[in-house]
Amino acid sequence: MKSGRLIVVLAVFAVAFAACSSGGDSVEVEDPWGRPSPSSAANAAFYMQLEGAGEDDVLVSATSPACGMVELHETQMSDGVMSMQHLPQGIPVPAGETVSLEPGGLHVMCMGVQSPLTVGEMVEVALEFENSGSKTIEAEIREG
Amino acid sequence: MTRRATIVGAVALAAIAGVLVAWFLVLPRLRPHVFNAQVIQGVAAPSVSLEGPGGEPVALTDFEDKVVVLYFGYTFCPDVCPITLAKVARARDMLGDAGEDVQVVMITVDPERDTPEVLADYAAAFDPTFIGLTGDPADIDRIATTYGVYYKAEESTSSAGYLVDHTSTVMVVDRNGELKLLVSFDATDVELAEDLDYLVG
Repeated sequence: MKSGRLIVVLAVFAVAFAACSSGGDSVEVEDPWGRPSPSSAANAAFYMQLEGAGEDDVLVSATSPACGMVELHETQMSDGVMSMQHLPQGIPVPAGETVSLEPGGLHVMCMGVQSPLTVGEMVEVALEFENSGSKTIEAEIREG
Repeated sequence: MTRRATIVGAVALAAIAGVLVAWFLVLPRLRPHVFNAQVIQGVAAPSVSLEGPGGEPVALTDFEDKVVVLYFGYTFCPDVCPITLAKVARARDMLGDAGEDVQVVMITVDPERDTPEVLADYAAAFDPTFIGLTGDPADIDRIATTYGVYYKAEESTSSAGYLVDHTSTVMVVDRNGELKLLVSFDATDVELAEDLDYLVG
């Protein structure tokens, strides 16, 4: 009786552990956010953590009702000079790795903000992955 | 003998008084401060004369009694520019009332798209006291060059048309009109506030 219970408990743990360690079957998006946009600024950026799935994936594009157009960009800093690259090939999300989209680096660029983004607002962004398909997330607008 | 003792006593008292005066009045002014940012010595800030809000002429010399924070950027920039200006705004806020002695000036490196109106709205969104300057591309080119600022419009596959590579450094001009500090993009708001606090003090 007692050992039977133990086996059940161990089996539950084993299944849970296997589910965790092998990675999910799709990319997970954590902590999506963006800065409030200055009223007349044409552009804004969204940041987030992309947690890789069990297999390699690519964030290929994004759209948002809050933006006229959305592109994937990367800021690069070289000797204090900032340059921004458009990433038409998308952002690779390798299996089991976490890719950070953060200020001064990779970002989802929102061009032509439809109305000013204000602190506390949640902005819907649809992300399109090569393998994980579409995921709609809500980015929180905050100062940083 | 007693007279000599009196003199010695008076001299001793004067010496003690002198030490006390130095201790309470002079030393606090000699605040030791190690700048977080990169320090430049003995370089007069090159002149800046451009168009401010409403197209009014604005010169760096208009802010002679203030510490001026200069930033070269552009309003189309979604990532580094707003993050930098928001950081400068937080640092200025940290100074409390002394922050009124800090004038933040953004000079556009994209005069084609950044009109005085666009810049005025953009700068004021970070803090109502921030000023954005634009002007003739040739003037901006000359000013950027004298400040050692690199910028270049790069054609891009982005539908933004072109994006502008530019030096991301923030510069600080002290009350003597000297270009004093170069603040890197990685500097925190607290680090900048400490340096500004010393300069306005």
